[in-house]
Amino acid sequence: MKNPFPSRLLCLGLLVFAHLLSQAQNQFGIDLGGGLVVPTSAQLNKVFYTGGEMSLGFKLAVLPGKRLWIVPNGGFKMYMKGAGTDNSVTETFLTGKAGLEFQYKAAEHRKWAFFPLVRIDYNWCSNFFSKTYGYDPTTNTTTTAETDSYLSGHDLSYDAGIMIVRSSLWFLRIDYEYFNPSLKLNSDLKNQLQADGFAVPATTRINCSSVNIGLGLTFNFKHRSKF
Amino acid sequence: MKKYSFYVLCLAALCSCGNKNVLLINQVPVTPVVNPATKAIIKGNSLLYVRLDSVASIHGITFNSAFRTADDFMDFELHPFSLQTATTPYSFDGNRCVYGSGQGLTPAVNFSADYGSTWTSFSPVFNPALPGAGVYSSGFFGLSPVGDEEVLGLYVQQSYANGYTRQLYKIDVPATTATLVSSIQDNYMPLAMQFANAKTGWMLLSGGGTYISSTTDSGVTWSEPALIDTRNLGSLRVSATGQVAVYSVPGAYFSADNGVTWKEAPASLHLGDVSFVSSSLIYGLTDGGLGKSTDGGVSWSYVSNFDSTFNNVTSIFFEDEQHGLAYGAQRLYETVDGGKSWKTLLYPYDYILQ
Repeated sequence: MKNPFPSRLLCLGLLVFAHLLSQAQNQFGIDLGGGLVVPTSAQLNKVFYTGGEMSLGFKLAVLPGKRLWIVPNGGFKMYMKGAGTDNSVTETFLTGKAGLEFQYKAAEHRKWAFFPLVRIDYNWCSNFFSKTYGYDPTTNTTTTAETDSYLSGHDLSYDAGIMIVRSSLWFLRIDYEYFNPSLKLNSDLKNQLQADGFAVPATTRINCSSVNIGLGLTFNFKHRSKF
Repeated sequence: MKKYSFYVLCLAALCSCGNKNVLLINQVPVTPVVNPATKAIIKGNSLLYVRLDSVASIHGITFNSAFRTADDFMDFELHPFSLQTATTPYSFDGNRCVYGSGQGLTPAVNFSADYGSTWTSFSPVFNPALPGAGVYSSGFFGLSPVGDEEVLGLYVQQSYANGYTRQLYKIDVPATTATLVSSIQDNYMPLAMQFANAKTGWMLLSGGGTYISSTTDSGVTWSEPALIDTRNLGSLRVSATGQVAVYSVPGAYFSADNGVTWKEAPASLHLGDVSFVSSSLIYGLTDGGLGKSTDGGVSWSYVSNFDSTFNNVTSIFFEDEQHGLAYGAQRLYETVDGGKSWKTLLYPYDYILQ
């Protein structure tokens, strides 16, 4: 395996989570959310003005009073836009995420709770193009053709932000994500560029940091541990 | 599940927008392999001669300019000139270049002692005067620079009665005179001539095979032509340290002792050019790439196989075992690891020729 770090991180996360589960005498829950992504770096912002994200997390309260929640979660972030003169082609930058989030209940007022949060994710990125054609009115279907990934890579990202929860059900969260992945150009494209007399670096860091504003639902469950 | 996927995609699509004229791959820094300014050197042009001096400096000549660079063409000097129509091969020796032009009985000599930056062109005054009667073909066959102010020129006349007359002239560039050094009349046709220094020179002759003749007294006397091969091997390369290579496609012979002994290369070797590094180390441009011999030309191994981008590469120049050049037409490559890898310095990419 070229880079054992992600799998090691995942194993460590699972071990920690299993340990906490065995110690648990408290609550579990699920966070489901989605929202708007605004790239903060000029590198990404000149290509995509905004994007969308969705995530699903299984959370576990580990301190008395449910002050600290640990949330292993997964999700994706997607930027899409039309490309070309007639927008007939869609460019997509898709990032799959898996990581661990820590939410700490700092304050509570009536039905509102305020959770500063930090998060670390491992990300898998792919930049590709697609085109939809061949609309069939009888079946109301179209066909979508996708290119291979023009840029791809994987790297860690780091998040910090705040989550406001109302009635232990709805939440609004705002966070800043630092994500500066090292992306690799498609080998066919790279070979073509080299044949045309251009040097291409083996990998390129593209700053994909963003501000994320999301809404979501949080479902809490009681756990009755035997231990 | 499909229904939810649809909503997810709709959410992402609603939240997504961007600049349709800028793509993410545009953020990948792409740099030209060769300096676009080198268009001034190669567009509509061809490389005649390129050499590496003291590893860092590259000098070269094209049909209409001389160039020099000390930083792999990040920056370069260019000296345009107008070459005459050549009637002899271009001959190079270090900083000196010479070629012949003009008519058979009124030939001109074009000489440069500064890598082609400036040229002196003149019709030398022959002493004695050229005999014009009774010959049907005459002219300089080859010129060889032997000093910063001196050239040796082989003037050949062909007559029905006497075959070939080879006359060697010592040409004084500042005085613009050509003085006869020796004259030999026989049935051998010259194939190539090159001098290693002002005293020692070699001449390939054709006469039912390839013969070689040499001089060690500036061409006053020449050795009896000796048969090398029954085929015609037309290429001759000599070094200042007494190495001689005679080759063609196929066939090659090497001498490391001024022609006293000869070594024959394998019959399968097809050499296009040769560069001597030491008495035993020789690089050769073969039809399959760069070859290397460490035993004076007896056995050869391939250092690098040239792909199609090396098409039209016809010459090599090695300053030492590691540092060398390969060039031809509009292409120039440099190696710093004995030919294992090559850096493109000049190439007719689209962005160069547009």
